Formats: sequence, structure tokens, C-alpha cells
Amino acid sequence: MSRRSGAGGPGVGRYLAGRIGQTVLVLWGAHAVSFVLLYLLPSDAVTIKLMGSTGLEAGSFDPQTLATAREELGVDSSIWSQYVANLGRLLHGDLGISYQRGTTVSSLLGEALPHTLLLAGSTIVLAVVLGIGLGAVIGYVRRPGLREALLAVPPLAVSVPAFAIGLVLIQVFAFRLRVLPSSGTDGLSSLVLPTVALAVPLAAPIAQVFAKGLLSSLDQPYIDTVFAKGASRTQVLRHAVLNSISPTLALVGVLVGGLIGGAVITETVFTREGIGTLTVSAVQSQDLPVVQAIVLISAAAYALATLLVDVLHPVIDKRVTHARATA
Amino acid sequence: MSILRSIARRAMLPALGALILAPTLAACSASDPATSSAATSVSDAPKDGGTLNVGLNAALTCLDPHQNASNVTIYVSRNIADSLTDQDPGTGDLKPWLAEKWEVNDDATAITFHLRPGITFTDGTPLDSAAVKANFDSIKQLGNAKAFLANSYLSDYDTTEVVDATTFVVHFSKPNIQFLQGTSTVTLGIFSAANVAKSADERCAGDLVGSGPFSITSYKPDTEIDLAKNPAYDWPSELRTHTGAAHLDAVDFKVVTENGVRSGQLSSGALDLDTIPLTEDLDRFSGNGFSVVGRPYPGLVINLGVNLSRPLLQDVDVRRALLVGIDRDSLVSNVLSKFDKPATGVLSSATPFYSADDQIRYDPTQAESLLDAAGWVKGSDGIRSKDGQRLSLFLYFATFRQSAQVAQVLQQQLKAIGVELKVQEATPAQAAEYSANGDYDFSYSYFIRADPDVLKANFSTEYSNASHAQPDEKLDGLLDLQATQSDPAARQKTVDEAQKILLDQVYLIPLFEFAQLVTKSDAVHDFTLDGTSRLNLYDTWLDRA
Repeated sequence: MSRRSGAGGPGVGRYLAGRIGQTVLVLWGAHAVSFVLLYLLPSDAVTIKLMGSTGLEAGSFDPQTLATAREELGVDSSIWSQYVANLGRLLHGDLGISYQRGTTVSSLLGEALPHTLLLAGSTIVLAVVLGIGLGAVIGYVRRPGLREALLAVPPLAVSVPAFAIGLVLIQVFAFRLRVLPSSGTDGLSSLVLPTVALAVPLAAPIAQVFAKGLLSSLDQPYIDTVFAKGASRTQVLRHAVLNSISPTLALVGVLVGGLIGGAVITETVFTREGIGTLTVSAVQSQDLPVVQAIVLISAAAYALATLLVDVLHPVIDKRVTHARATA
Repeated sequence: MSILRSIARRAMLPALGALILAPTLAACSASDPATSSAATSVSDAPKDGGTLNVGLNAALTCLDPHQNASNVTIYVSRNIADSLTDQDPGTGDLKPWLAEKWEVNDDATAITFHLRPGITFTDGTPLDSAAVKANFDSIKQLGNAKAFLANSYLSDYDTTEVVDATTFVVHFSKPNIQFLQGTSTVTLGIFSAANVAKSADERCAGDLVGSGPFSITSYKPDTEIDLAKNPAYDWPSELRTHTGAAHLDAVDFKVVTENGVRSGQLSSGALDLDTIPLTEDLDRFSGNGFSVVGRPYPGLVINLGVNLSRPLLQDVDVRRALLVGIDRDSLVSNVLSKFDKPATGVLSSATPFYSADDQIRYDPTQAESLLDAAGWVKGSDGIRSKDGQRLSLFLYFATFRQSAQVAQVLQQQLKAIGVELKVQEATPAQAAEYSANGDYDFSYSYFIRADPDVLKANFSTEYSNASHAQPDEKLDGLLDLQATQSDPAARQKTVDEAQKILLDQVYLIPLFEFAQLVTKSDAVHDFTLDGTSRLNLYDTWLDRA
């Protein structure tokens, strides 16, 4: 059995230090891998930029023009010196300048990030409410037929891609009923449809895991004891909920990491400002500094979310502790 | 002068979107009395006021037209900056705009402009000779790496000599007649002297001060660009139909990359005008409260750019067989709109100095006999081969209006004469790779510019050499010569001769003239396309029922 330790004990400190170390390692790895991948792509950002801004074929540009353009973007040296310069800038908190837009990456992110955070935040809240709600209903329902039918809803919802949900929502609520805007980033009304589109596929696994946990908790012998003591079904369910929330919480942590991926599609469908639309244009134009910054942010969000879940775990489920087992 | 290459890049999402949206949208717009009734209440007197919502299909990467000539950049910047001249879309003639008149010296090395007095930029500073000089000098200083097209219009630029506040002379070290047409484009649009002194990056990010009928109020390149009218404006070119400030109070350009969403927004009233509608949507927006405006783009027609360095294309008879082996009429009627036309020259009929050339025709019998004579024999699968080598050619194309459908039709048409065409839809990065490596037989090409100098820029071995050709002194000489000829008749003769060689040697296989198409609500009046078929919203007004 594991040893219990107080909230501020040395075990927790060591645990946190280890986790932060891991996070830094993950960030460095993501940065290095994205740099190498983008560097290895056959076409280069300079040619794409010149083709995009002129409409000419790649062969149209004389070597002098290409050399000057490469020099202006600082991509004229070897991969190693570019990497060292890149990493050095990053360690000083400088994310560099966008190849295509000419503005600093930090200002691009500064404009885009709040919109995506808002969308991500509202999505998580809605997904958890929908997921836990549906899971609880499944746990509460006693008729086997109805329960089986409800259990089939999450796999169905998870198999419909967010962009398809988005297009159907646009069709119904924006074009047919004309109650909500189909695109844009203005105000709360423009947030509703993207949030729903992004939350539905996210809510599905939450509902599934939560319902599974709930049902297996209800099968445990102690439930019989609680029933025997005369508790109502609602009271019993409360016990079961507390015992099945941990895996659900861990899942939410994992899903947060996938939100950036979901935002790419949802923001594109709804033409919202944010990290998603920025990612699409940066990847298409091989805008390396922007892509790398987004990779770093996604990795950081993922690491932070799992860290948060791990830290919260013992608070919610008293059986879990961060101190190393002492045998 | 620009690209539509950057257009709808992502193939899958729009296609799926269209699939899902198309049937229901049709039902929606047909059963919509609100929008249909707006169509009938047309009054002739222009109304002032209102905000025009315009749909764009791609995000902007840079708003400065000196540095970027993508369509979306031109659509927006054309309405905030004026040009020295304006080009009549009907005749191709240049008309006074910021410049009242101009004179060209005999060998087209010095052009004297006389500015209209009393014009001011939206920052209050005067638009004078010094400001124009600052613009041209700044473009020169940006260099090819940052302002490639603007510098090609200003090629061999020496200096701008300021004579007085409204008179200046632009000097070139070599003759440059195409510069004059260049002055009508927003690529050489005029911004305030203080504005061009700012960094290239600042201007890209939307910090632009022009003298146009509108000015920028909000710039979010991925989602929305808002313009407000310039109340002091009173210097339109004589091609415009009114004077004074613009009729519209504001223009909101909205970036909506999903084609299906854009057309849904147009039919539901969230947009008034869609700059890049889907070809298959055109019928849906004709007559029921909506209309389609179209005009062929000037410049190089849509063509198969021939890679002359490829082994199978070395024999000119093979190339000639391909030139006459394509049925352009059937191509256009099958997959394009009524606004697009089969190509009859290397330049589109909307281009000054266009002329038809009968080397462009459909003659499958001749195509087959040329290939027979060249020793290419049809095999059991209908594809020709010679010495064990199949006549199989490779075309790459960017996602662009109907490009995939065009490629399919070409595949079928060429198969009929025993030629296999392999096609590949390419992302911008892949296109850059094919283009740089030269490992393709055909590229899907075009180039928008309302001046025949487009031929020099693309085919002279001293410039782009888009066909990877060996230098041809005669052709290069003709392409150089037309750039020096200020006499239109002489220039026409030179351009025609160059076209003859380009087709005789098959540097390119012209396909069709593609049109700039706009779908719009009938509430939008006096909407026009300029000489380069781009939006000019100065005369446009809204009549909302």
C-alpha cells in the first residue's frame, strides 16, 4: 500500500520537480522535431512566399532574388547554425518573426490565443456537462433496453467529425433559422455553434468512460451494503459517482491536448480568429517560426493539462497519493 | 499580375462541405420570399449609406499591394489606394486618374506625368510629385525579394525627377512601355510619403495610408478587414460614374474559406457579394434575387505550360499534335461557365494587343496523323508507344476553380488521340517542388495582367522562361522589342509575331479564358470590375428593401 503524505510534504515537491523536468523535456523535443520536419520538407518557405505574392512559377526567380530573400528571412545558413540561432532566440523568450506575415510571432499568437482559449474553455465546460450528464443518466436508467440505447449514443457521436457537425449546425441555425451567425469572432453568439461542434465529439468519450465507471461501481459489493442501509438510488449514485470520477478526469486531461487539433478544423469551418486558422495558413505556407510556436503551445497545453489532472487527482480521490510507494 | 493559385487550397473540406450543403441550400434559397422580393424593388437613383459585406475565400498574407499581388490583397487594397492612370476594361485604353495627362518620349525611356492638383491622402498630406517619387523609390529599395511584381513593372527604373509639385518625369535606363499599364494597377498604387517610409512589415500588417475612396478601419487578415469611406474623396477617374465620396459608408471583407458556407451566407443575406463562387453554384444565383457578374481576366489564358526540357516533348510534332488534339469548346461547355471562353490566342480577349491565331484549333485527325508520322503507334490499350516507350505525360495543377475537372476532361480528350495524361493535384508546397525541380511535362498555368508584356515576363529566356526553353534569339528579341514600342500598331505587329512563334513551337497549349466571377445580391447596384477584372467599389451602392 502507498504511504500517505501531507499536501506540502517533500514527496509532492520532488514529484512536481520531476514533472516540470519532464515537461521541459517534452517541449524541447517537440521544438526539435518540428524544426527538423519543416527543414526536411522539399520545398522552401522563400519560394512559396515569392510564388504566393507574385503568381509566378518557382523557376521565375533569379538566384540573386532567392538569395536575398533567404538572407532577409535568416534561412541562408546551415541547418545547425539555424537550429542554434532558433533555440537561442527561444531561450530568450523570442519566438521570432513570421516568414509570410513579417510580424512577430508573439504578436500573432497574442491576437489569436485569447479567441482559441475562449473557445477551448467553453468547449471543455460544455463537453464535461454533456458527458457527465449523459453518463449519469445512463447510470440512473434501470430499463436494460433504454440503457443499451443510451450507451450507443457516445460511439455514434464520436464517429461524426467536428467539421460535419459544424456544417450541419451552420445549415440549420445560420442559413435556415437565421438565429446564429455562421462565421466570425464577434461576441458570444458567434461562439455558440463552434462550441457545440467541438464539444459533441469530445463529450462522447467522457460520457462513455464515466458511464462505464458508474456501472461497474454500481456492481461493486459495497453498493449492496449502501442499498441495504436504506439509501435511495440517487444517494447510491452519488457514492458511485465519486468513485468513478477519477478515470473521467484523466480523460479530460488527455482530451484538452486534442483541442488544438479540433480548433484547427472548427475555426476553419466557422472562420474564427484563433490558433486554428493561424495553424492552417502557417502550415500551408511553411511559415516555420509560426508553426513551431504553435507546436510549443500545444505541447505546453497538453503537458499542463495532464499535470493539473495528476495534481488534482488525490484531492478528488483520497485513495491516490503522489508520494512514492515505500513497500 | 496575380494569382488565383492561392485560392481554395484545401481540397477535401470544401468538397465535403459542398456535398453536405448543396441540396439543402438550393431548397432554402428557392423558398425564400424575403430575398427574392428585394430583387424587384430597383430604383435608378443611387442611395448613399450602408455596409457592403464581401466574401473572400482566402486569408491575406500581406495587405501592401507593392509587396503582394494575390487576388484577395488586390480586392481590398484597390479600394484604399488610387493609381496614376485607370484602364478602360472595354478598350484597354489608359485614362487619367491621379495624373491628368502624361507624355512618353520617343524611345519610351522617360515618361512625364502631370498630377491633378489638390489631392490629399487620408492622413491629410498632399499627393504630390515627391510622394509619387517616394513610392517608386521605395519599391526599388524593397527589391525583387520583397516586391517582385512591382519591380518588374518598374524594370530598369532609374529615377523619378521632380519638376514641380504636380509634374515629374520617370526615367528608365532601357525602354519600358509596359510601365504605363502598370501605373493603372494597384501594384503601383500610390501611398503617402510618410507611409512608404514605414517598414515593409508594418505596411504588410495593414498600416497603409492611400488617397482612395475608402480607408482601413480594422485589419484581421485571417477573418475580417473593414473599410470606411473617405469623406474627402473627390478624384475618381473618368471611368467612374459619379464624383465625390463613395456611396457606401463601409465595406466589410469577410474571409470565409468554406465555399459552401460562403454561398449559404450569400443566400441567407450575411454576405452581399461573393468574390469566388463555385462554378456549379452559378445557376442557383441567377434571377432569384441574385445575379452573376463575370468578365474574362486579362493576361495569359489558362494553358498547359509545356516543359520543353522533357524527353517526350522534344519532338515539335508531338507538341503540335497536342495543341490541336484538345477540344476547347467541349471543355468549356462541359465544366466551365458561360462567362469563360475557349482560348483563341495566347492572350485573353480582355487583354490589350490580343489577337486570334488559327494555330489554336481542334483537329483530331491532324493530331493523330502527326503522331502516326512521328512513329507513335497505338497499343492494345489505345495508348501510343514508340521503341517501347509509352506516350505518357504528367500534369500537375493547383486547386483552383474547376482545375480538377479540367484535368479530367483533358485526360479523356488526349486518350482519344492515344496520349496518356497523368494528373496530380498539388498543394502550394508540392507545386513549388515540381516547379523548382522541373520533373513535370505540363503545369496548369495562367497569368493576370492587362498588358502583352506578360509574354516577355513568362516566356523570354532572359526572364522567367516558364517553358524551360533553350534561348531563341528571334523570340527573345521580339519580346524585348514590344516593350519599347510606343506606337500601338508597331507593337501589335511584334506581339502577333511573338505569338506565332510561341504557338508554332508550342511553348504553351492555350485552353480557355477564365472569367472573374462574382455572385451578388440584387440589392447591390453599379458593381463593376476594373481593367484587371478586380473589384472597384467606388460607384457601388446598396438598395436594401
